[in-house]
Amino acid sequence: MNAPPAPIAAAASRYSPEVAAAIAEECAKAGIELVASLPDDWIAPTIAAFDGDPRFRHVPVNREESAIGLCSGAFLAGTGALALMGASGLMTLVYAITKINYTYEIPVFILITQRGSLDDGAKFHVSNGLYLDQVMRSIDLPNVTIDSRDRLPLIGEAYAHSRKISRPTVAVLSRKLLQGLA
Amino acid sequence: MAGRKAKAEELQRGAAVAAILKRRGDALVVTGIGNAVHDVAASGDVAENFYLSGIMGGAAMVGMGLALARPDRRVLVITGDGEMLAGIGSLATIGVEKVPNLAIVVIDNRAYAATGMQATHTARGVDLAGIAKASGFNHAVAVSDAAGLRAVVDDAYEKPGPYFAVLRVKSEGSPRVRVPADGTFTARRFRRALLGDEMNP
Repeated sequence: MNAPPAPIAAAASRYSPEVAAAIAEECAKAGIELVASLPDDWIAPTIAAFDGDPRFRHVPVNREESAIGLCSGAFLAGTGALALMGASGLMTLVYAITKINYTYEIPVFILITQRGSLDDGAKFHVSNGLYLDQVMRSIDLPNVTIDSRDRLPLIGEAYAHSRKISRPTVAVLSRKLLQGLA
Repeated sequence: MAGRKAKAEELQRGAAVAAILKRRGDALVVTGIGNAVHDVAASGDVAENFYLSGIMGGAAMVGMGLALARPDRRVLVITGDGEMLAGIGSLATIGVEKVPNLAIVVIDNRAYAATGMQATHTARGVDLAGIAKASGFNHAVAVSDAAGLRAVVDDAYEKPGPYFAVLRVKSEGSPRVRVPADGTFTARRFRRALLGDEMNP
């Protein structure tokens, strides 16, 4: 096996490291210690922020279901966890969420990007804009959109809400927030 | 690899799992969906068993989450070859993260026994222990006889993890035993055993 890679760098991203740091701060305040992430360039600085922050154990995973499994296992042992991914990732998770988290009443907090929004120029994310809300609604998945810095405390509220209802909750991060423009 | 036929095996799955669990001590056990649930429950339905009956391919990562959260406890994932194949990418994550207190034992009967004995890819030569080794597991073995099983019984608890063992067993399912069917009960019982009165939220 190769040596561990260097810490993830946030440089050269079009997205705001200050907002990323603020997101990490809200997560730490909420009691999150373990972060499972999957890549999306909107959250590249956010992933880097978690990776470089000693308050968190950051685990890059290679499938969204792995993030749900990891966070669910951590919950069983009393550790607060976060699954961080793009909107496309959440679209793959109906099976895992309904089979693990609903069946066993295991809360998981999921942070996703709002890929497919009006300000997303990527044609291949149109499907998220069309169906993400409907998919979340179809499985009664509580979610909140965070589209400005003054709404970042909703991260802690959404995390606490997942514990209260013993089910997953989702916070959706807008592009302008992550760019530092809102 | 192509066209390789599985050899006749000596191990009987229920007895093999019982031998491993006999010395579990305070180890936490996660099962994969399918016959592994019955193999583990037949050795004693205790609160420190988490029967993950809901999802194919999720057991290893639930085990990893537990192991990271409780580095003071050995975590043993017991699952089948079909379930492990469904979550095969998780071996890469566990391997690179070098989770020291995690052991995975795969009961390899080369078939989806719970759904009609359809052949899995291990029946055609896919080498799960080889994949684990190449993914960075500290130890990865495949055993098919009593001597090999005796080594696994010790090593699954004592070798620095991540540890991976394939038990090549007879190609058959397991006798059904009574297992708590309610997921909420199973999860809350498990958490209470680990966390006691600190279990909320």
